[in-house]
Amino acid sequence: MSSSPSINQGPNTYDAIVVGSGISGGIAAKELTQKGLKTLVLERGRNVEHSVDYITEEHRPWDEPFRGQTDRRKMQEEQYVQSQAGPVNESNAHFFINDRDNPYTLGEDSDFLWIRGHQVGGRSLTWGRQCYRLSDLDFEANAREGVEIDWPIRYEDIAPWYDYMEEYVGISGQAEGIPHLPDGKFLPPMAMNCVEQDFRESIEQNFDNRTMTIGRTAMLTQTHNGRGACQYRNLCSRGCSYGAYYSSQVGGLRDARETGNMTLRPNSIVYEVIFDSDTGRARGVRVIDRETEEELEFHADVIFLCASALGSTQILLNSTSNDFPDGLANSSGALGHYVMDHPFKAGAFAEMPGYEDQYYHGRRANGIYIPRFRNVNGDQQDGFLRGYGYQGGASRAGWARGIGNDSFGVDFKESLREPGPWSMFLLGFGEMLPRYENYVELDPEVTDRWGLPVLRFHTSLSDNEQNMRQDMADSAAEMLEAAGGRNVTPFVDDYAVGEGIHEMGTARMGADPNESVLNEYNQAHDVPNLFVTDGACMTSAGCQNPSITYMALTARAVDYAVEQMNNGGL
Amino acid sequence: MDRRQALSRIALLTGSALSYSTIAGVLGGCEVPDAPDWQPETLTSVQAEQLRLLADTIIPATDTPGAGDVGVERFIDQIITYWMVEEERDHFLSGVGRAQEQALERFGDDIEGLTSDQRAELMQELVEAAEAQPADVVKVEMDAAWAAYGDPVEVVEGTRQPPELEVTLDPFFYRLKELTMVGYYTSEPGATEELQYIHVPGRYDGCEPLEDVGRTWAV
Ligand SMILES: Cc1cc2nc3c(=O)[nH]c(=O)nc-3n(C[C@H](O)[C@H](O)[C@H](O)COP(=O)(O)OP(=O)(O)OC[C@H]3O[C@@H](n4cnc5c(N)ncnc54)[C@H](O)[C@@H]3O)c2cc1C
Ligand code: SF4
Repeated sequence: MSSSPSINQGPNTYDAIVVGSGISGGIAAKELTQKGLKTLVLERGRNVEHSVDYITEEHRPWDEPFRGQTDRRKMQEEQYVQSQAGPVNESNAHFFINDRDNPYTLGEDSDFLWIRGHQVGGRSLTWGRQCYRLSDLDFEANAREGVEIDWPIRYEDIAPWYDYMEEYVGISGQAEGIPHLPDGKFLPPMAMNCVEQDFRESIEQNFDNRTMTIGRTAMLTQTHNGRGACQYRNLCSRGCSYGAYYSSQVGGLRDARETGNMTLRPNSIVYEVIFDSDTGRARGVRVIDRETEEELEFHADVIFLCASALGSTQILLNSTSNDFPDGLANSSGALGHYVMDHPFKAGAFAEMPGYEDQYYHGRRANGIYIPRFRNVNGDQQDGFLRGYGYQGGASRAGWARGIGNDSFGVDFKESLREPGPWSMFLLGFGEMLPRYENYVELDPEVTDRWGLPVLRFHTSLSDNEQNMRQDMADSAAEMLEAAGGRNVTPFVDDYAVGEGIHEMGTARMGADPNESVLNEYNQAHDVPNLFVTDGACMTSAGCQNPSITYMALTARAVDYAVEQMNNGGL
Repeated sequence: MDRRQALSRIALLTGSALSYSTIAGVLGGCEVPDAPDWQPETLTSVQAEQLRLLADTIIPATDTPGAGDVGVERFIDQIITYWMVEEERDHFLSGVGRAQEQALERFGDDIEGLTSDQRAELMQELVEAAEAQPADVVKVEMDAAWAAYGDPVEVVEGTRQPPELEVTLDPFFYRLKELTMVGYYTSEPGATEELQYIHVPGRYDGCEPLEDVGRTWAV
């Protein structure tokens, strides 16, 4: 604990409380403390100290107890939901929750995969680091198409905050001048390999309106803000002692701590925001200590919920009072509804002939990106609204290509000393429409290990998403064919909502307090000193990886909140 | 998609940003104990020696160590002890038994007594048997699957449940080969002498002549 509450306040009283220390909470903490507010950061998970707690970072393949996969029995017993998301493996499983302690329930015909990291840093430790701006194609989409409600902001409102956050976070990428995927403040881009370069050319020659760029990623291609450059190890989700990818540990929390204004309290499960009926404001929060099970109360002038979209929603739903019987700040009834994610697991791959004499050095933990080309620039799809982008990349097959075949012996061994053929892989990430029927509520019966009601999910895909996923496979195959790919294999694999790990939308922003939870500054319409700046605020989903947008909105909301506080407006 | 298709799909992806964890998601692995007085936990000492020799037939020593030199049989013992469910374990062990019977029938000797040429012939027969035998996919009762380990899984009723556990009972040769390859190429000699591995590459070059890079990257 780095600082105590200021003298003229009571114990357990701060200027600001931030709930959650992940991607949005880290930024909220930094911005609030740098503006001079004594800030308490409450985090339900354990502490994770930069570098010190990256316990698997130095493991070589032969050091890993289960060589990368994981203890299957332990997964089945403790992480049976988490382990269904591709990126969970032996070396990072300790940064994902125990599913037995944190259960949730499903409504009829619903499925949801809720992938969480409860620890200081949240999922900033394990995220994929891809960062793309939204544009007015996204901010205007609902209004243009008459889908649900309009965003209360436009690109020009957020653009300076993207600039600000990108410069802080450090995003490597290539400026391309694509209006609907705006360029940012980029560090030098990572390189494409030969096959990727070729593929980009093929796409541009063969398809109007499509292009490909190197992934825009929160990984440093040069030293930046006191953090080291990427060493191309591709071990990121174990934690990175170089600080080469952005996490709260090397970003927001580090800089908040430096101000001397932050108190970080791990193991603090916030279960309620206290509403003061007299003032019409939030007074503070109630907490259960995860270890001692002690119940505590903390007060502050302003509260930022950054517990991840569904985490913050759960807290609000659980904060009932006479004024707000259906959950705090929920006079609109929108709270918990409009769950969105980025449907994926559809695309294609193919062998790419040629370049047998070329290989690569280093493990680039980044791929390529094909920006959205559907329903934009004159393209019009009958089967679905909105669009998707592709992530992917090219690589050469390694030793594992020998597993499925019948060969063995000296020649077989020798043959694997050389890498196998090149292949190219494209995976779509699509926009899901906001729908009232996709919602979470508190389960009336089931509680978690701490006696708190769990969320019940009512989530499924509509035809729009299903049709879009089919198109992801078809169009990827088409581009691979055009580039001379062999054995082009399109696929549309099973996908459950949430599996994209971009869950959002359950406390949406909007101009009308009757239809939305938050206003244009992420401020609760009903409770002026309450802000929600994680993915819950999203009015529509875009198809871009969302976290940089959460960061930009968080910094913008803090700026607004502090200005209001200084003017006596909160 | 069956498991072999999945494996070859994944093999195609090796090296992409997605590959490492995806591959790891399909293949199992275990720390190989390197104590000199190692004793198998599930295998008999004889079976362990037989598996060592069979693995070495798949990846023999050349100018670099073979699978028989890097403790692949220890890795296999750990996998069948701590990773496989009963059905998989029984299926694999009966495969070892049948290979031994075949050695006796064909050459009148135990696997341990065969020359390396005879072992290669035996292996070829295992390949042919495997080609003829389709893989079985069986669903496993979770409770039963882990009963041998102690606590069965208890998940609060009504909450999102663990997925059903489906295991594939591969023909013996394919499972043996997979375990051998994973054990070998993730071992230190396999990764660093036969192939190459650099923990901290330090730079990324997307187009470097294969000649200059040298061998396949282990990871
Ligand atoms: C494997 C993986 C890959 C991803 N790839 C990308 C990507 O490439 N690009 C991208 O933009 N996004 C990606 N994401 C998503 C990204 O991680 C999230 O969008 C982002 O972390 C959300 O930030 P957040 O602050 O809202 O939530 P989190 O980072 O999840 O942080 C929330 C924090 O709040 C805490 N908390 C929750 N409830 C409570 C409570 N009641 N009391 C106290 N504390 C609480 C949690 O413990 C956690 O620490 C990925 C995620 C994963 C797991
Ligand atoms: S690839 Fe780069 S960012 Fe990832 S762990 Fe290695 S050095 Fe860190």
